[in-house]
Amino acid sequence: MSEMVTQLRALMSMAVGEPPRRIDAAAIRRRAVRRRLAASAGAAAAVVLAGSIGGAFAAAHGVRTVHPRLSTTHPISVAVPRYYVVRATGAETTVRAVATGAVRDKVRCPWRAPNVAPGVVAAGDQQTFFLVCQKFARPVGWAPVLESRIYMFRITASGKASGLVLVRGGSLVGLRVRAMAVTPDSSEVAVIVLPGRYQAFQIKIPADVYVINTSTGARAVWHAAEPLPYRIVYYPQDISLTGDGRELAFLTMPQCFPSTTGPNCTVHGGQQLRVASPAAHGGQLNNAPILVKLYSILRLSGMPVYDAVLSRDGSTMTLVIQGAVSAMPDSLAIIQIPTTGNVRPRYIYRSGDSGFTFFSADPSVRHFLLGGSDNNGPVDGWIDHGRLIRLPPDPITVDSMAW
Amino acid sequence: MVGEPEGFAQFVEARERALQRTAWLLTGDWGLAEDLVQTALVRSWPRWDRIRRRDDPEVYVRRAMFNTWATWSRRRWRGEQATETLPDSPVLADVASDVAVRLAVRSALASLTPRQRAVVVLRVYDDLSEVQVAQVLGCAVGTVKSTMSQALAKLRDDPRLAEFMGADSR
Repeated sequence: MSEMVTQLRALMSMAVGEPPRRIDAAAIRRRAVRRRLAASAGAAAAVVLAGSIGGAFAAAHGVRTVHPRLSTTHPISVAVPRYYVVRATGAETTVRAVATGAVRDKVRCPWRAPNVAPGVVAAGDQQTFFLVCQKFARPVGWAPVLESRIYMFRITASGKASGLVLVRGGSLVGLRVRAMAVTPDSSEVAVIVLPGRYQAFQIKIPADVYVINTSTGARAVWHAAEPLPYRIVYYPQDISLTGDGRELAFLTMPQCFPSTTGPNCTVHGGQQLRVASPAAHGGQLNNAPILVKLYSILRLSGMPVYDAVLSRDGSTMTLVIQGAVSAMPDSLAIIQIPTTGNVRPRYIYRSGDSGFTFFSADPSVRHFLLGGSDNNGPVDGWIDHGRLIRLPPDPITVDSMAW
Repeated sequence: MVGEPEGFAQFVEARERALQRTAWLLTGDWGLAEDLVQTALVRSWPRWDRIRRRDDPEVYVRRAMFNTWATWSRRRWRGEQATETLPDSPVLADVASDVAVRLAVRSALASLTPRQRAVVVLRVYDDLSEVQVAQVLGCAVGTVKSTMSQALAKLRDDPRLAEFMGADSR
């Protein structure tokens, strides 16, 4: 072997480093079995039959449901997205290139009415995005939301936004949207909604979750429990959907409301992740079982978890936590833990002194956008191997980004 | 309940990290590398009883990996482009050289054709013999030799690698 080959080998070894994750045989086996089942025509027929029976059952019992999907294996790109969508108060919503930060297009709410402004934005796949437009009662200052509408648009290979259309079933009268999650095939959109007269951050307000089938407009509702005295309620702070749209995970903090005359009520435990399933059937959020007691496994107190996203296969969750983790009391951290919960957290990112503004995962839940701030102002960007790669439009305060 | 083929779990346990490293050199992205190795292992799983009876089951897995990657490379919709510079980012001094080497190697490998890249990775990084490389890629030994020669000639002239390699080697 020549000297060049020797040096090349050394450079390659230096460049490669260690893989961030291990691959285990059990996961391979599960995937291989799923692949074999998917390839089987008999399995496909069974899915159709089960869907028909399920639909008939739902119809007979008055359950609001959506059409069963045959395909639950929408391919998800795991590459770093090429474009991201930025929403900032008082500025136009823009599509920007990740590589350069350059504005490739602007997205305007197509709703021809006064006092309309963009709200939450989320990605279906790397080309399909959803934008909430909200109509306010007044043009300036804080004002109630009269109606929210969910629009869908696509981003072309060159970064142009096209085909901005109202999602079927996406008109939400009298409601404000707090958060939105989308399946990778864009067939289902889930939104946390609360009455338009309240602000999105108010967590003591009963907030329902709507799961909307974008093909049919069918809407399933996960109802929040009424705040009756001494009843423990689980109002959703943030939501995510598994890849097949079957499971709806929501981050929540149990709350209790005392009566005006009686003693205070006590709630044991802190933030937790609960799973509503099947997402497209609707039901009571209070009946959704606990997936993980975050306060217990991470020894958290208060509400330090700002965001929680379930992986598409439901095996891991990604959390954004401020403070209270490990030996960095004032840190902002993105961690991943298995939903089985009994494993040490894996740090995706940690910052010693940073505020939190927004967090967004790409459709594969492998790449993350994080908005924060330090002493010098906003710091927004994406996480690459534990480092925050800053993204324009610094230093404008961005409300949220999605990719 | 579907059982595990004999020896499969042990093979994955022993070789998954090495396979992931090779996959990173091909793809330049850990996410893609993991996906590539998983896909290759998933494809090997149903045939494992047959594969393990061979002298070297890893040849089969690597072959599945390279075939999968070749298929991915042909899909233009992935739209990936190797880039020499990352978006503007504050780079800490102590990691700067590592990052620079990583970028240089990734970019230089990306400039090769898929076959050249596969030959270089297998021959140089994995230290396989020409015969083994030919087995993995399913081609003649002569093809491996000529491809390797062309690839090295290309890398020799690559300015991104030049600053990390001594003049005597070129």
